[in-house]
Amino acid sequence: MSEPVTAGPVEDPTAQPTTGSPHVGPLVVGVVLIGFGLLILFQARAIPGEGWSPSGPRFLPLVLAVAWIGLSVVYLAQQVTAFTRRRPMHGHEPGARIGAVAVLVAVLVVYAYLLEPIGYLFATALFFLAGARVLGSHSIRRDALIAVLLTLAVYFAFTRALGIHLPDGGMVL
Amino acid sequence: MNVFVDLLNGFATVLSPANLFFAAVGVTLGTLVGVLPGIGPAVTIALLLPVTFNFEDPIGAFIMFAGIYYGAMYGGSTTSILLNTPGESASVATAIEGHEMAKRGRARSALATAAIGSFVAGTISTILLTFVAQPLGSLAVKFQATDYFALMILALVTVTALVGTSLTRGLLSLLFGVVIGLVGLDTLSGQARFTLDQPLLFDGINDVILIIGLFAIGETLHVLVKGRTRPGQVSPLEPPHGGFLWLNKEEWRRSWAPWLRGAGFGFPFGVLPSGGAELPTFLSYTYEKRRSRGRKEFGKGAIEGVAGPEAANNASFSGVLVPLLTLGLPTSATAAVLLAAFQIFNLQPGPQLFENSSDLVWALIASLYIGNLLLLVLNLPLIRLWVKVLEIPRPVLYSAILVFATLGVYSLSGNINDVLIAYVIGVIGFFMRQLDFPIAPAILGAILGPELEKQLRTALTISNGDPSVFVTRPLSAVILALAVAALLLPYLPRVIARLRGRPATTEKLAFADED
Amino acid sequence: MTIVVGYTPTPLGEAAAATAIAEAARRQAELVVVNSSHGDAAVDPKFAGPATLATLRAAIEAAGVTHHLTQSLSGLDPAESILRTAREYDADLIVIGVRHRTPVGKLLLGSTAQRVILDAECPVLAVKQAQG
Repeated sequence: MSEPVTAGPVEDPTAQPTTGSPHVGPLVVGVVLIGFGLLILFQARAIPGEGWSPSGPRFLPLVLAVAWIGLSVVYLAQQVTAFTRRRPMHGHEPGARIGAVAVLVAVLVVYAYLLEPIGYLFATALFFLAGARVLGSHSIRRDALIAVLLTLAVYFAFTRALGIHLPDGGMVL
Repeated sequence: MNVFVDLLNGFATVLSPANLFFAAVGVTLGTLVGVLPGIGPAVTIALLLPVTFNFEDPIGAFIMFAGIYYGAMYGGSTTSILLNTPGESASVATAIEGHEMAKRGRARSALATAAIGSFVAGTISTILLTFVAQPLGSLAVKFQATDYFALMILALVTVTALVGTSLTRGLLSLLFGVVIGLVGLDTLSGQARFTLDQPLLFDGINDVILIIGLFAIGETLHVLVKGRTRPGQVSPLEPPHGGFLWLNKEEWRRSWAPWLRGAGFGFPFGVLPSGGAELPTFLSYTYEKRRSRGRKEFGKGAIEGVAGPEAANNASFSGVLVPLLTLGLPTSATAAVLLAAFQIFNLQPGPQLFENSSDLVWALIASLYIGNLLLLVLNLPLIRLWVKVLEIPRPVLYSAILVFATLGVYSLSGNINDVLIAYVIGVIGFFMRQLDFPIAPAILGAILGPELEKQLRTALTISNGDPSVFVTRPLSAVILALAVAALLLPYLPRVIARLRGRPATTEKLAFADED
Repeated sequence: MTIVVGYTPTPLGEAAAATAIAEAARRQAELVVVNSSHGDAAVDPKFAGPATLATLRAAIEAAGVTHHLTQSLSGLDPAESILRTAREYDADLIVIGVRHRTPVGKLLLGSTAQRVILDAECPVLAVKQAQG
């Protein structure tokens, strides 16, 4: 990621670079928010019932949907203003490392789906290894040791001390 | 007096070996997470909630949770002082003066005044809680649905207005929480709402799933994007320089008054719906700075600037417990998580709690005294150990958090779909962090939303559908007026600046989101 | 002529630095100090802060040695970081600190010294921490 820097001030990856151009991300988010507002508006309309009586089930959902759409229009307007004024934004473009986030979420989903078929022990140890890797670990031996210890410690704490059932995947300790 | 008997009974409960064990586990865990930046008491309690489901006796769980909260406060100050990175959001003020003190070779004094001040103020405010809670509880019996409705609006609005830099984003976050809170079958009419016709969502989205998703999973994804960071420098502890408990005579003399004043800020602002510890901490810091105008030491390591805010920080927790226990009204994200915990154990905080579950309430209050004492004993001598925690590599730490998050959600229902919902919410939490949407309003909204609707309906049913009841009943009207004022308050500095003809420097008063 | 030294703000690292400074002065060589961190924890005791670096720089300047201080948060192994810098500067000598490792420590973390010694393209001077 960062190259070694010579003397003086060290390169600081945490420093927030001021990028010259504003981000497009918030504009997209503004549109998504309005879309979500429309969704909850339709969901509110779809609630069976008569009228919009404040004591009925449809009142608060309607209020929420209308307030949401109003606020997200304000939000979008604010972002458009920021964008057109080309106000320099601080921080990285939020999409910068989004790929790693997608990978981690995928690893999580695989973990969830493996939990029951192969059992808690294997799934968790594997997940820990993969998760630590995606999060930037580089010491696979250290991770492996921690994965085994943590998995076993949690297993005994949950099943023996707390009486919480964990899927065993056909293998019982 | 009755209070003493109740309190003594509480101590008897807490001093059982099992409950002492929970208190010790709580304060230790709390200190650990408090030391670590980015992980706070709210997320820790949320991760532990599912684990405590199987407890036969909820008392142990609540003692542990209270310990976590207090421990996080103590731990947060350690990181602030030695590393200049606030360990948790309420330690921001401490990071200014405390770290300067450490750089000047007074790290021990800063740590000591923070810890002893926390103990003093925590104990004072617990004493206040002891005597204020029950009378306030009996007063609350007279509250009507309209008052509760107004109070909830006030709590939601103040937290939203104070946290974060943009009111628009705060309100959107709040509304998102309320929408999530309403998902599922309506309790009164039985109609499915916001379920997208998925039977999966008919039972609603459990508060614990929301909290774990937004806080634990969202934070992990956020950390992943931040990537590598430049390691901080821990200020070395200077050799002990005499004095009693690491403080010399001069430092004791300069500390005691800020401690007491800090307690004076912390407790009342904890009681009021003002979002927890951030506001009183900030006020205490500002006040101490004003007072010592002649010293010009502020900004360069003034001990008053550590003593006051740290005291206020800890005192606010007992304050937060007052509306939580007597009205069922959470005023911060952590309090909202505690309310979720009460609901899990089928306990309804409110005026009846002191009658129906007086064992639990008094044991909880007694545990605050014990927890403070334990922390004072644990904190300073083990300081080197707590600092070691900062060396845990993030990949290991956050992978472990994800394991706990997944197992916690899974053990709620044994249903993989709940886990997947938590992941989806985690992704939403991630984007909220990336785009600077505060998290606390969403949590509060989800937990208070359904209650709010219930009180609204009850009030309207009693009034035969006349909406004017909210303004004709004086108490409700006053509270609602306060809520409107709270919305405008953060813009006050800007308005004043404008009136005086100066260009506004700050856009809005803002406090850090809880973590 | 260039000497590369692997530095950490620990007694062992200081010993390596002291030897490297003396060696650079004797050989009239340029000294390149390498200090790296994975950058994945809030605190890394092996990463030198500004104050430590200033002290180190003062010591090097007092010996009249031309130098470069490099710090990186690249996530590389410390050994990899040292080797890479040595290649970059076409180093004639690498100075590192060595110490006993428990078998468990060796298994978990590997040995930075061992990797540098085996993979370096130039002679490696191994320095032990002063006894007592």
